[in-house]
Amino acid sequence: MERENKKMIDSYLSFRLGDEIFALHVGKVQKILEMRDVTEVPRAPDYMKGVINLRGKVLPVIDLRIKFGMQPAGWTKTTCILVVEAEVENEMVVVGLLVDAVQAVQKVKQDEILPPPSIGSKFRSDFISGMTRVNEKFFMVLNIDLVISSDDLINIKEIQDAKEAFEKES
Amino acid sequence: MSNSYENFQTKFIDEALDNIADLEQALMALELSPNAKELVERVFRSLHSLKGGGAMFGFDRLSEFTHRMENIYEMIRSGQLCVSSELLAVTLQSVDLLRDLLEEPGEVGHQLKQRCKSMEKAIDAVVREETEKMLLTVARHSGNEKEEQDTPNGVATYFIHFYPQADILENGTNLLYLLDDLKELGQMVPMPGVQSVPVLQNLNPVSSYVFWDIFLATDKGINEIKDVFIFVENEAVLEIHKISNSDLFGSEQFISKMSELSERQKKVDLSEIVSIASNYEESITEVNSQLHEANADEKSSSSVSQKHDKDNSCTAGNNGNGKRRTSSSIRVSTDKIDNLMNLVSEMVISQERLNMIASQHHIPELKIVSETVQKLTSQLRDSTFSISLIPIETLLTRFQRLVHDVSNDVGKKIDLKAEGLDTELDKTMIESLTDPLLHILRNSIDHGIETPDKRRKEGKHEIGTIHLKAFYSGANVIIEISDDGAGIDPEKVKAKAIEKGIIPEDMELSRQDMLNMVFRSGFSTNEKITELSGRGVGMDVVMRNIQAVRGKVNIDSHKGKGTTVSITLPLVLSIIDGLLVKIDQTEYVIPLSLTDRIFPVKASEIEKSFNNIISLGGNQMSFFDLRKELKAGGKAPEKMQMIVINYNEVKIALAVDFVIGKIQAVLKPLGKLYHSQKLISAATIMGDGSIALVLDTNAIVEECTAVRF
Repeated sequence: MERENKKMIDSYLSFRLGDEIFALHVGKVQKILEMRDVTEVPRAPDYMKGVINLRGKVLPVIDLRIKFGMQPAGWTKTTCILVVEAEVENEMVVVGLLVDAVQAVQKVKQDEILPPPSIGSKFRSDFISGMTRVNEKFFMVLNIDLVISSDDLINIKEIQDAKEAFEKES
Repeated sequence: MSNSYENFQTKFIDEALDNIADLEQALMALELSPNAKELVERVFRSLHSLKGGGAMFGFDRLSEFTHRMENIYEMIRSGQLCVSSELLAVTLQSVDLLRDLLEEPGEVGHQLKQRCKSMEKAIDAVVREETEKMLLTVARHSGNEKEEQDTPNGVATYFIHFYPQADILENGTNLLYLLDDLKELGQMVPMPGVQSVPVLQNLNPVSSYVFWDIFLATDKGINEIKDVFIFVENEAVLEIHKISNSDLFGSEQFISKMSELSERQKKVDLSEIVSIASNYEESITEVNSQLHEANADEKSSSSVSQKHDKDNSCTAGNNGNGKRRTSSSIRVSTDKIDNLMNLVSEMVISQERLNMIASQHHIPELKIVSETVQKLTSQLRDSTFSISLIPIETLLTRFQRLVHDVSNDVGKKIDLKAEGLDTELDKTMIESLTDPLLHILRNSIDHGIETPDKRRKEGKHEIGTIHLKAFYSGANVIIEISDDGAGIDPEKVKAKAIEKGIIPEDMELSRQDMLNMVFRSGFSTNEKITELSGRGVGMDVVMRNIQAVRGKVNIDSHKGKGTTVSITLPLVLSIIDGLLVKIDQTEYVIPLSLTDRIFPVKASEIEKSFNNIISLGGNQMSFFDLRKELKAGGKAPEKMQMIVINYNEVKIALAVDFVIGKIQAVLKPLGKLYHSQKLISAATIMGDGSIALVLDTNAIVEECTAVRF
């Protein structure tokens, strides 16, 4: 799909991570895989869960829970791997994201997505590209390129604070 | 249209560079054996294709210039010139010019034009000198009786007046082809002229007003010459005269007359030529009669006459020159090779799978098939890889060239010895190696090797030696460049580094650390900037270039004895034979080429061992417990395996849980996200779809050693 066409689509895939709900633009997501055995790569950061075989290619998998500073969760029925395409240092990288559950694909108009509130100086709001409310539920649209490029852990606490601030505002 | 033309142009440049490289190689070889006619042939061939291609793709200057060089080698080929070092030197310089000319198609810059001009002059001068020398030697020593008599018998010189009618071009005749055909017959000097050209208004652009006066020396006879003109006989004035029964191009007087004639565009006075011819013929007969007298002691005469002998036999050999050797290689785009490589990789994976299934079901027929397929895939894999590998030898010519040129410039005598040139590397790697290697060599010549005087004083052989050695070491290729020159004084290096502010004054450095200072940027020990080394590119760039292809550079030097720079490069293969092992739940692959032996050990022995030394098969050896190094979980089994690997000629053991067996591993990169991962060089997909990780044993040994000490 061309970039232009991707922008025309206003569908977002939402997924759950602990108690929080995040969303990704559907153009970013290639496929959703069932959880499977991940080969751990030794001496890598904790959030780098390992690698899996995706149709003959080696796909690195990031455990988003750990990346967001949450406790690692066990392997449940709903755990799955989102295969997403991200831009890292001007290069397209395909990577798997381990999430607790995939929820739905929702249509959200571009103007319904609001910029994240800036609270506190420490909070890196750029990991979140926007926030929106669908059916009284809030979710945060992730700037996945940045999340993957960055070697830092993201503090889920700050994101939660940001969400609360946003909820109060609206 | 213009796009595809440009495509062709880049293709031509590619090809031309190859041709130039080949040319250079042939020239270097020719220097060693000046009489080898097949080398002259090779030079000629390269020049010829350069000329043709150049003209076709708008490199007019290049083509013009090559044409001139081609003429010289044509003369050598036909035995009218000897290969001399002056001639070779001037040709080699021209080769450089050719490279520069390649960069600018069409109109070339003023500077380059000047260079062309002066080069052309230099060539002419050398050719003139050589011809004179040649004639002198002919007169003085004179060759063997037999061949001297051959010449008048075989070769005769003809004068051809060829004046086509104005409408000759209307039939589609290309007059230049006729001249080319004529040139195939022997040596020729064509002198074009124009006659009865109308005033501009009446000038018909499709008419021909040109005539040619041609001197041709050939052994083919008048009928052959007539044959060339057979299709234009009725549309042209054609006169053919035999002016001499000898090859007049051997006569100095004749040649100077020719150049005079062509310069002034005068009408050819045949009688004058005939008189020159008869003079020349006389001189030859004279020489011959002298020769008869001196025949007895002629045998010991000189090497020069022998040379002539060979040169002339080369002429004879060339008479049947229609057969150009067809090239034994083809050009294939790298995309196609990459594609092939991918397919082979897929096939290897499928084959591993087949193997697995065959071992699960005990069907003899299936087993036979799977074994055959395995054999075929591994052969297919090896030959596919060899496609993109080229031997280091391809670089040698440029090195020889550099040593030849630079050592002459700085007045040093240097011998380049090379070893292990059949060591093969990936083409891209060879390309990125060229500059660093040239730089190291230049350093050796410029700073390393001393002047002959100084060497004599120090009791060394006057001729310095640079030794280039390439060899495989495990999964690496090592290239060593060592010289027997002055070496590097580590203290001096340190002092310099302090002076330049690269390191603080009170820093403690080991000898190796001091030497490694030369790789720091902004470092150059030589006071004066020479044209050769001090051009702002230092060893730091060498280091960076080599690191860019995942290589390593090491320097070792002993004052007064010489310097050795060694470059270690990883062999980049995308499929390897590996030993599959298991540590905890994860499967790892150790490159089979590195493994030496496997010993079973008890876990307790590993725990008990002191300082990571264990005795295996009667040898003490240091080992690393991969469980610990890879931070594997779980509990170690009671019986473990020790895999002995080669690490830079040293044997080191690695402890693993199990050894599963041998596999063919298709290496897949772990990707950008694992860029900081050094111990694992790649991943591979197993027959059952699971993933095994490929260990970079060198990195493991280095990393573990670094942590420990």
